[in-house]
Amino acid sequence: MSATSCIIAAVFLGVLMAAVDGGPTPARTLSPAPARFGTVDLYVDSARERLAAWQMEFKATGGQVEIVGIERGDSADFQDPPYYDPAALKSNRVVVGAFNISDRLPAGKVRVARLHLHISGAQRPVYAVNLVVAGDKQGKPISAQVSLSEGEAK
Amino acid sequence: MQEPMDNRREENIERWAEEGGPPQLRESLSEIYGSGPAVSRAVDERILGAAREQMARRVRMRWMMRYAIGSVAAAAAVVLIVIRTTHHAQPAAKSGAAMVAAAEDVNRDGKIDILDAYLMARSLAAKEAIAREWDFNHDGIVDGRDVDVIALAAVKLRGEEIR
Repeated sequence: MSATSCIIAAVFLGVLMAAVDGGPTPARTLSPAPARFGTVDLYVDSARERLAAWQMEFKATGGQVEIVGIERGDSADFQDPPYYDPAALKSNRVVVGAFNISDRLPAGKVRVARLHLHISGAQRPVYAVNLVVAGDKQGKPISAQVSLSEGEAK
Repeated sequence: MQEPMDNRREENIERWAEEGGPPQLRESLSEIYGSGPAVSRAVDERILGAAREQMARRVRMRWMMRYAIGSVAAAAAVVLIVIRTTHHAQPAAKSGAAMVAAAEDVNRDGKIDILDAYLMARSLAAKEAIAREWDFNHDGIVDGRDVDVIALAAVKLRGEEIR
């Protein structure tokens, strides 16, 4: 094979390998690690604004975490559990949201949802939340802060 | 010992082809087999011509193979680059807030989020005039189940915002 053919073949193989490299990484076999259940509470703080609707994204950015359940928060005004995509269960990410059409709307920091998590592996999980939108009684977007707190894992 | 000029292949190969081989080889063959059969010059030319033609075909084929491999490799590279570029160029959709221009976008802000569900639910509760296009589940009634359709569309998992 001539030098030109070798170079062409090498370029071709290189391109193919680069494409393969971009594909999904195969799941690694992990040694058995202690599994436990934990909770994460999600909060919205709308300061002085009355909160009528909220939507946020939660994700476990570190550790091996599966969302196994979602329940409402402790605000009596948001009586129903939040909306979420059932596909988020058994995943590490969820978008949750809820609204309240009553006249009694909370202000300040409100616990709006609790996530139940299955945590495995020795690595300590890391979580992140991001506000998608919060709205007032008129349905207008308002500025708000979202936060979370971890419950004790059992 | 240096080889006589007459027996050097590089310089004499064309002449040998016409004469029927290197002089030393011809002499040796004559000693063993006596004088060889007379081959006419025309036959000789035809054999040489056929050999040259075959050689030319091989060379052509070799170049065609090189161009073919090069073209395939270049085409594959272009296709892969286009695929990868397109893949990376796709903007991550806002989580749970797909950009739309649809009836579900009640507040017409270009995305479906929980505020659309809220506004629809509020309109229903206030018994305001309801748009028929809000019958998202196509059951002939605009009610809370249609609100659920919007809310579930809003929280549907799509592209990630949190990395």
